[in-house]
Amino acid sequence: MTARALVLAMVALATLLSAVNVQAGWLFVLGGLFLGALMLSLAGSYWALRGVRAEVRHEGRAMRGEALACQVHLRHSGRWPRWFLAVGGPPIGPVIRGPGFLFRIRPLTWSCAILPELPPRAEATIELDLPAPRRGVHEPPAVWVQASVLGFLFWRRRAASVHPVRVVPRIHPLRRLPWFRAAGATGDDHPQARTVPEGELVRGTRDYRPGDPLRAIHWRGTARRNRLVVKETEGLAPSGGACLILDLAGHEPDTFEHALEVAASLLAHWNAQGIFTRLVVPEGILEGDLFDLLDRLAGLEPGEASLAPVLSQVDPAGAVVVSRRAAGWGALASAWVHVGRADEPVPAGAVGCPVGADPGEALAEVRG
Amino acid sequence: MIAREALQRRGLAALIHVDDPLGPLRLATFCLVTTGICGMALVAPDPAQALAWVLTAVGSWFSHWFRGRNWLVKAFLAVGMLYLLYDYLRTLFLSSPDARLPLANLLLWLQVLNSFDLPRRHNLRIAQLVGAILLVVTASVSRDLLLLPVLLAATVAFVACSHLDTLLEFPALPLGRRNTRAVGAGAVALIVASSVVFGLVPRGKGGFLTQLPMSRMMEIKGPMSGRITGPDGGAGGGSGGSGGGGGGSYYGFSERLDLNHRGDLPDEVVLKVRSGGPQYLRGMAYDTYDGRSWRLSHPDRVESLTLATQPWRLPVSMIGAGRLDLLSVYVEATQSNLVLLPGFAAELYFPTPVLFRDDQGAYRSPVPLPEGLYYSVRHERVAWQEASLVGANPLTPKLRAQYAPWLGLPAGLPDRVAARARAWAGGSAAPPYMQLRNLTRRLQATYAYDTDAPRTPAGRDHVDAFLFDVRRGTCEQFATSLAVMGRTLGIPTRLVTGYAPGRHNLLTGFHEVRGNDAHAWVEAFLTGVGWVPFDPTPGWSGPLTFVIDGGPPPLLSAIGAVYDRLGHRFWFLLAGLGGLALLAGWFFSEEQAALRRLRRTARSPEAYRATRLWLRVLARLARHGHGLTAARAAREHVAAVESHPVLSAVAPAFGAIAAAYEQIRFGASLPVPEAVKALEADVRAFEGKLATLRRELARGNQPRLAQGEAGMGHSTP
Repeated sequence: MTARALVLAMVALATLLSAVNVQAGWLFVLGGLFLGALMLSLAGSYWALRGVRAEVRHEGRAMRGEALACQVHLRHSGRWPRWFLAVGGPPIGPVIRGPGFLFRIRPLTWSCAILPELPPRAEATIELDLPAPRRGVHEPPAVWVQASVLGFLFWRRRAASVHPVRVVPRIHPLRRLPWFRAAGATGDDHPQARTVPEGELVRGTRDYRPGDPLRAIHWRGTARRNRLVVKETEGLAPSGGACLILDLAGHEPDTFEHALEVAASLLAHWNAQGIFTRLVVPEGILEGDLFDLLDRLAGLEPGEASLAPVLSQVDPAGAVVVSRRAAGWGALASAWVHVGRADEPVPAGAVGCPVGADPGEALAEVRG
Repeated sequence: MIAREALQRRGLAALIHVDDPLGPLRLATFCLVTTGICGMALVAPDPAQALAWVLTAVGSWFSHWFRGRNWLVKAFLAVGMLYLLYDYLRTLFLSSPDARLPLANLLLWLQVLNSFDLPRRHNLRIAQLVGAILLVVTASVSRDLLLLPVLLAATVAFVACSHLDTLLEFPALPLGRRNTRAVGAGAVALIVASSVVFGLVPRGKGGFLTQLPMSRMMEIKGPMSGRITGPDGGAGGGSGGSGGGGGGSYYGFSERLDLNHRGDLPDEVVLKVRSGGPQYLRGMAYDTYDGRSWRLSHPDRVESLTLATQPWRLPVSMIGAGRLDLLSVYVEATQSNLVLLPGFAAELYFPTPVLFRDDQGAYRSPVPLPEGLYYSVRHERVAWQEASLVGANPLTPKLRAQYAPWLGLPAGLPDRVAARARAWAGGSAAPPYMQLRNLTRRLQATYAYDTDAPRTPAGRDHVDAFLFDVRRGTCEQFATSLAVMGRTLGIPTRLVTGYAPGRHNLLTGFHEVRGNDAHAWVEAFLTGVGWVPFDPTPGWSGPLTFVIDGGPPPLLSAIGAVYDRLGHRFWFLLAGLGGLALLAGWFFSEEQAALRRLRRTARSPEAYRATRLWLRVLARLARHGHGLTAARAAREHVAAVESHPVLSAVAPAFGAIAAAYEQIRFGASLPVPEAVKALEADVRAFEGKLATLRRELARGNQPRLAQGEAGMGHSTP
């Protein structure tokens, strides 16, 4: 029930009480009109959703602070057209829903879209962008299809969706990393090979990564697998790669999120450069494509677990530490990115990337 | 457009914001209010209503074009509202016994003022509510069918308001034919739904809460005799039933009723009666029959009654259930000065300081009842028990002497009348009630109702001629025959004239009494019971029915009982309950539930207070155009404010608040109260800066808050 419906119900009740009291026929008419509006709103909204099936499709992955693009697919099997069906949903994440009985037609913070008309036996798709403010692996988006005739009462039906949503850390575009040198690389942050040399042997194939040359695309494999596949040659393959060591200890919530954003940005940058990348966290060393690593970042929580057991397996060459703590990283990695608050001093030998700063700018500076 | 250009030339363009998303809703609201005003104009025409409508239109136009600063307008409106309240109270307490129309006037002018107050969406909802209440007041007063087209128009406007208001919840959609179709279909569906509800809602019997409409007190000038006065001010048709003073009024409302008179009674509505069921209205009663006519034996024996405060307490001489029902009479055509009352009237709200009562229990006003007069009566709802009527014994000698005036028979009454009475009464041993009931049935079964029956020849007794020769006649002939036959059996009787209930109009709720509903019936005195009505005319049910009314539904009875116990404090109780319902609605609303959950799950009271402060800041920003529609982290809000064309002036201060909020809510260490106090101070300072910013904008200036000025030294412990 909405506040408007409550007010209308009270007015209808008062009108009908007065009508019964003084036996005024017009008051019965008017009371019937008000009460009829409530009934119509309830019954009409219920009827409007009958025969309408809704299904939500989405990418399953969104960046924190960005929106998850959903396609709400409506299929109407009824005989009469449906007007002004609305779809909406709360931001991705846990839904706070109290046991109240007064609700809004459109709750605050919900994203909504409206479909002016759904003809009989027709289908329609509505684009809906749901904000993804919280990082993590969340339940499928709680998208509702709603009908509200006259706007007093409404019916909602949850749209079917099974896939969870991974909200990964935000990725900032990085321009250059003058302090980084991949293992085995000769330049600073230049790709190992941007072209496929003539006559070079093809070792195998792998999925396309942003930055791969078009000439490297393996068209037959692409056609067979229905996704872009590139030829992996000696010149294209990284000759050592990068290793991102993420220290989860010593963080506060804001610095932790910032550290994850920095890490995600570095991973994406290296991926675009064609550098083979590994992620080191206390649980172990992770490999995979970029999305695998981002999904892993989505589920991380701050903790005090030590990195020592896994650091022994990491080659310091090409290793970059993202940490807030000064723990002698210089011997363990080739570079150290310090993520702290703006008022915290940057330790000697570290690249400072404080909370609130643009990683693209901060990481482009030469280490002092 | 001309006005807009003129304002732009004068540099006042900043005041104009014509991109008004509320425009269609504003128009629909204006239409709904217009229907309310039209309804009021139908029931209580007043030139001021036309002025109110014009001002509402101007106000709506004003609010559409000028939506900038309006403090000066608000000040004028506040003064206007105070004056309206003063005028309402003055009208209510000094001169009007009926609060409905003054209340409607108050609401009407309040919404006129509201239309100038640059109403936002929730203000428009208030205007819609006012329009609906105007219609309710109109519906409670209206007595004719002219309200129907107004209500149909109001239905369309109501649907349009609801539809457009709902659409405003969602991203903007261009108006088009689809909306028009939706409104049309919604209106049709609503009419069907409301018709169903109208047919299903139980009507009850009314009167469980007292509402006593009564005209303004009439000023009485000149001498007051208490004699019957016709509608034209002359004698009430007393000269042999000459038509009751002309004007087509009933010749039975006079001091003498000539049974040979045949008058033309108009087929026009003369009274509209609002009551819980059909009611006979008693005008007067005759005690003396002379063979040719009825008359009052003592026309001058009239008791004068004066009253300081309403109501008139009337003696109820009959048995009754003790439950008082309400009946209101609206005079549609001028009537004689007889106060038309239902049987067993207990309280009369009548707008004169003086009344007269004759020895037959009829009441008279000092002046004829003018058109437009209305008055109310509380009368006993009689639940007749036939057993108690059957148990009434014949008169004792003492009672026979006491009721001798109602036992008199004309000297020339033929014996065959009495013989016919004895023959039809079922034997002299039968109880008086059974005798009268048998006579009634035989009269109804034997004789025909005919308004063109021939007149009784001169020299013959009227009853004798009717019973044995003419054998057809009007209600006067039937009633006279029963009365005279009853008297021959020793039962006191009298002839009563008044109005039958008329036709019930389902839409207006009124019983429409026409001139030709004038009627005559008989009252007979039964020992231990009192005067009981009998109606021997075929086709008329008569006032005496044996339907034992169960009263209103239990819920309404309970409400009525509470009202009886509390009196006028009932309304305070009702208002209190309404307030409690609203309070409960607020308490259980989605937002409050979310806040309670937040309070439960907050890691400390300080974190909860900080969150409330943060929400307060966001709400303030939302008034300045900062979107709240998407959930954002604090830093994302800061980024959005920094990129806002106007709010960027206060972005540093907002950033400081956001940082402090993050630290308190999510920081590594538990927050201390001092941190929340510091945040509260920062929020207050921030609100001051926002107010400054708004003033600057209202003056048409660019924000002059320097970065250093906008920022604040936030102290985080």
